[in-house]
Amino acid sequence: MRVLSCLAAATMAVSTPAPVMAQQQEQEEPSTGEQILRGVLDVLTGRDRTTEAPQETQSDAQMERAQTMNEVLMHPRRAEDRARDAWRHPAETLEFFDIEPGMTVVDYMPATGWYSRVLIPYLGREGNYIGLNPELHPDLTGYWDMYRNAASRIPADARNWVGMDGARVWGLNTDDELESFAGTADRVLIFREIHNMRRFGWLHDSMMAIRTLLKDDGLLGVVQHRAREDAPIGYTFGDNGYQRQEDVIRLMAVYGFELVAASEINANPNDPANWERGVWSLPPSYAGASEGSAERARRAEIGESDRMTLLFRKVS
Amino acid sequence: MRLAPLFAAAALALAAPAMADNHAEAASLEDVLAMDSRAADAVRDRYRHPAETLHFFGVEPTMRVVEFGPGGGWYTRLLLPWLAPQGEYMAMQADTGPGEPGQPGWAERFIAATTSSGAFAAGDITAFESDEIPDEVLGTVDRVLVFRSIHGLMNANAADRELRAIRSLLADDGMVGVVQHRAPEDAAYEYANGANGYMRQADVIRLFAIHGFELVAASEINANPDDPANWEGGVWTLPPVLRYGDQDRERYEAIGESDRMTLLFRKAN
Repeated sequence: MRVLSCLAAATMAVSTPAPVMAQQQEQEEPSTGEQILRGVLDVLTGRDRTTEAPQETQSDAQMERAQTMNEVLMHPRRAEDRARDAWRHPAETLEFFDIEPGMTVVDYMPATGWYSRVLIPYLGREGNYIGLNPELHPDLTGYWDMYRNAASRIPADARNWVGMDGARVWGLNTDDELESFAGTADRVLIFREIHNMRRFGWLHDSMMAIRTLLKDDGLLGVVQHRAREDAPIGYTFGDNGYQRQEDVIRLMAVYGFELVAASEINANPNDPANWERGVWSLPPSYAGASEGSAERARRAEIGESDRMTLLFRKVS
Repeated sequence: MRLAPLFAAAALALAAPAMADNHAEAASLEDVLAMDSRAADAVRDRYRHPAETLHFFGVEPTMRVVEFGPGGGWYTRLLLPWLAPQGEYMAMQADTGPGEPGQPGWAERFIAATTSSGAFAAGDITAFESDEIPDEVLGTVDRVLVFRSIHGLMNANAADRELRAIRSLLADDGMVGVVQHRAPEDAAYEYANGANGYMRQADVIRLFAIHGFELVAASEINANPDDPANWEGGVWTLPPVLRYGDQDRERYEAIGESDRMTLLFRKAN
């Protein structure tokens, strides 16, 4: 039953976007959607593609995209950001989410812009980048002030991040008038914010705004710190950063999103995901492990958290 | 351990000098349902099936029970006289945020409203907002009852916070009883997201699962197959709100109150 609906979802994903599909059929190359579907089929049938003959050469469009991504990732502005590529796998993650130049992409809570410095240049002159922040409760001040007034702040931040390069940049808070952006987004991306949405009371308004912004055939990509499946519920409400993958899938179902595919791109099996001080125990925060300590070295070895990478589609 | 404060609370309630006569000793649920003070409330019994619902939730008169979001007090006026002699009735409201300085908070207003008729004594009621749960209540409650409040929690961005607070109240073997306006399983998400009062049963079960609750049983006690549950004006089209006044009133009254799910959850990991 669940397998069937999962397949149906993957099939639907294959059918979008139509022009790309047609173009790639012509070249007899699988679209990313088809690759996702194959991945799902492989999981279901227990087939391992890596043991089979290597895939034929990529299509021109795919090679061009990979080239663009490579240029974006190697840009000097990312000199410091690049240290985290080994943990965040931006090229693989954005490919899994089927992001293409020219798209309109919503990035939920861009914060200090690590992913913005990838997305804005990658989406290119034809693309639109929308940074979406929640409505901030008046009690949240200090650090949280940077999330207010997104309409002016995010485009200004973007200038500092990437200059005039790349996509047109917009900023929104969920309590702004969203009408003129309704149904315009090809993708919405939520990078490591589900725990904050839950614990700060942003979840409902944010998910409703996300549904409003997303096209009917748009997709939602989620990367989130992952708790062990048997983690106690008291650990997974959000205060420790980690969420159980099953709970995130349920949560998205409550908001009318169906899982298309899950990837282990951002998995880290060395993370026990049970830190007393939560995910902030690991790099880059190292909470509770002083500089130069053996404990800090041990955690550096582990790396950033274990993460789920999930792709959802909007259902009625 | 858990019984000690429970008996203490009951003893205190019995010792309260302002205790009204009509609940100085234990009364059966049937007796309470038939009390004159419920005459106006009793017209809704045919839609709300209180005896069957409380039985399904396994509520006993000796239990420590929290009613979440008591609203106008329809269930309060039944639960309080039934539970006060041997058990304990408490009311919890979703955190309403910082109130107006010098003005009474929700708990004071609720107790004042509930005792205004003279039928109940203030000493019988414990009331608190979810951000002010008394320490001695945490982990001690046998049942939390949530009547038609889930959509409101969704709309207020408060479901996470409040379901978490509800869980913190419960004893390890405590349970949550939920009654909620029900959208058809195939209702469009845009209709069933809470804004119209109705929610899909599967979504409510998922929401509780995320917060560490496992479904024990579902009942059709409060189902109403005559409700299409697709009103443009939401659940408030039907009685008791009847938002359109006299317009089509007879039709809405013939349907009655909304189709409702009745769900019992226990704590899970």
